[in-house]
Amino acid sequence: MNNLALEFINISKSFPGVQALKEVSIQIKKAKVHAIVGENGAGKSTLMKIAVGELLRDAGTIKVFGQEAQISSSSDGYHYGISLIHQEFSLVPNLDIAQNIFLGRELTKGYLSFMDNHQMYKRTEKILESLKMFHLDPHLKIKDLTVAQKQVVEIAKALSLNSKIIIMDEPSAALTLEETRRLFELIRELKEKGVTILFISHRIEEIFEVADEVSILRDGELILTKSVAQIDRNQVISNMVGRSLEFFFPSKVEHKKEAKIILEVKNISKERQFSNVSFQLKEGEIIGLAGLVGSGRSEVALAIFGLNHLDAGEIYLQEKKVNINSPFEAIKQGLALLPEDRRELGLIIVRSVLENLSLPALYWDIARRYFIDLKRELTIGRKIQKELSIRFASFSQKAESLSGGNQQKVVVGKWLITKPKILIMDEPTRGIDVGAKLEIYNIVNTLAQRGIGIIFISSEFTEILGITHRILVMSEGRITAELDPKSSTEEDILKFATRKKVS
Amino acid sequence: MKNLQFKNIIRQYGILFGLIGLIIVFSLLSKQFFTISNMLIVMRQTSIVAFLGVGMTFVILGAGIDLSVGSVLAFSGAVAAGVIQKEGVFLGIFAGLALGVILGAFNGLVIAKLRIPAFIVTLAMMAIARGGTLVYTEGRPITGLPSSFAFLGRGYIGNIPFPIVLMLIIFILAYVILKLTRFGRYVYATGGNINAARASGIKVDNIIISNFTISGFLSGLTGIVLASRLNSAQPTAGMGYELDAIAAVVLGGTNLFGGEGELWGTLVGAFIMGILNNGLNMLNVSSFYQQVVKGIVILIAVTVAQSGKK
Repeated sequence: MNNLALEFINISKSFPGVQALKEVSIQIKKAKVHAIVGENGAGKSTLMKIAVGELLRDAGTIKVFGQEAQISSSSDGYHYGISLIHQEFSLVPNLDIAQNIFLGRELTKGYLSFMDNHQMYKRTEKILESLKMFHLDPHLKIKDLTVAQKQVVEIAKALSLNSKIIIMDEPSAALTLEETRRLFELIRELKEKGVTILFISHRIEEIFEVADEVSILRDGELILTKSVAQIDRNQVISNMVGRSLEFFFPSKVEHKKEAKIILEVKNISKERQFSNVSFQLKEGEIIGLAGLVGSGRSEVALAIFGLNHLDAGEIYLQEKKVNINSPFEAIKQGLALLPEDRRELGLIIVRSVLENLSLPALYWDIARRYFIDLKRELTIGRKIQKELSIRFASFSQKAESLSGGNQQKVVVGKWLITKPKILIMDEPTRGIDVGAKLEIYNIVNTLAQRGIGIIFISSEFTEILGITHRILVMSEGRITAELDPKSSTEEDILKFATRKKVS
Repeated sequence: MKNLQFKNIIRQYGILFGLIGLIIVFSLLSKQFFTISNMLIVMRQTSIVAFLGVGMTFVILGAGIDLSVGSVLAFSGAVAAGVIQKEGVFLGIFAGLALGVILGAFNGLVIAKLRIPAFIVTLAMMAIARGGTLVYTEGRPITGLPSSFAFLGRGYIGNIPFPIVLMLIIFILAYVILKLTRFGRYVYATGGNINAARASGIKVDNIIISNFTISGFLSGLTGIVLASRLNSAQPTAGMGYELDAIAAVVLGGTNLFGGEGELWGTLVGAFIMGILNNGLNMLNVSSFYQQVVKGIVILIAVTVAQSGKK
């Protein structure tokens, strides 16, 4: 008997300019939990999307329960009993649980094919009951559910489709620790029922908690597949990163202790987002703001930049109290924000590279009174392109046509043109490839040497340890620790990042 | 590669070829069509849609829409005519323009500050301004305007009708504003991505208010020019003009969701509408069929533009 649920054989896939997967072969055993790990851009999500047909492979074969599967469109995955649960759920917020589970394949009765609500709610009830510990009423609307509950609905939906293989893309990313624990219980339960689970993660701890086997991807290549019992944490990390950390990060320039304080945040609070956050930033210092998704890091950044109004607290720049209530004011005071969501807050993707680069500086520098100095605009654009080695064919190219890494450099560039004194970078390396990451690290280092104070926000603890001078850890809206990266480990950060509020 | 360039040309200038094609077809079908005197007539007719279209271009580039232009036009024209009768031409024109500015600014304020969709706010303004016109005129045309007022709509500079000269001036001014000033950039940026624009330090509320104010001002101006040309202010003036103006902008290739588009496209779009009217009239096509043809042309033009994008 073949005990394999899913086989990837020599799968390759390339996107314009990137080889996302190179001849990846992985065997996934029946009724096991198999973790796929790797850095951002390693090709994990691409491989999973190929498994269900959301993306088309360029080459290679997929076998499901020993049979070669013709998976070439997004409904084919379901056909073979494979479901993919995305990080962003594909549920309709205004419909209830049962309506979502049967969306597009509603049960009907009679000649006129009226909907058979009775049956649909009954079956939903049955599936939800089988997930014992999660008591949910099928009539609840999706928009009233927590993230964890939505995940349960997605799992129920997969089960209702008789999926034998369920793939989860970073299922714990937005969950609290308690919710994650319950999710893992559910995963074990499903495994006992004979369901094969594949999950993508970049939290190393989770692999050892719940997975049976682990495959590591790096830059689109399979590095290894091993039983969890045969591998340890450090091996996983070194295989994910592919080089030791000293190599990967630019050498830190020691920060002068006597440097001037340029930013001081005193007890700032915002209801339900963060409370009593205080810290100082010195000239040329890189401080890391570490924490899990939802810990309030980004909200603090937005508040300092005038995009999020404070309920309480004070902000001092150069020891002067300031009241920043708009980005306009923030820029005037020498602040710049590289936002977490590049496409939503960082770029105007339908406009040209040059227009994006010059936008924040138009008011302060490039325009003389009302008119734009087009020559000066181009000169400044060329200079920053060279400085950051941003790669594009022409300045009139739309920003959306650039790769993720180059888009991010355009955002960095547009702020450098404003000559900021303080640069806040919110997840600056998310979704960009390893090479571009390294370039971003180098840019951060150079800027700090020039005296710019940098707040570096990230949920990748390796990079926080690798490039900052000082680490502030946030959990549930509070700063829970201040750590020295020289004497701290990822476990130290994680410990404080998951620390609960004592109530 | 060649194919790609061809597609790019189609995408950028397809509408211009469409206009030239239309002119050729009508010239072949009617001897009187491509004459200087008829072309001047076409341009004078087109100027009305072009005024409104320029304002609409600002609004749509900023990711808005202005359905109230036809009603604001009527209200401004009526108030201008009324004031002219009592206080003279100069004050009358001023009153008409001021009313357009006020109504446009009001639209913009409500949209930007109260965050109500432009579609709804300007739909309401469409009713309010039309109602205001009817109240002010008591439902009757205002006639008996002094001859000194006639210049705006019926005067000539050399051999060229004044509305055409005015259209060119407005077009050049608007072009300079959009392409060479900070404000123009901000209009594109705000329409392209309002959140990113705000995060880049742009006061986006001011941009939105300005766009609607420009549209209101140009609606007022159109109302005054129209009243001058007809020698009366009609309470039903400008009905349905908002759709002609939007059609001109969309024909011109501007993205209805904002952030992308060129002003010259709007001018070409307005001319296509004007030439269709004029050419079909010359060919004695019934005005009922003309509506059908106009609709079909808009559909074809937009379809071609879409296919060029892929």
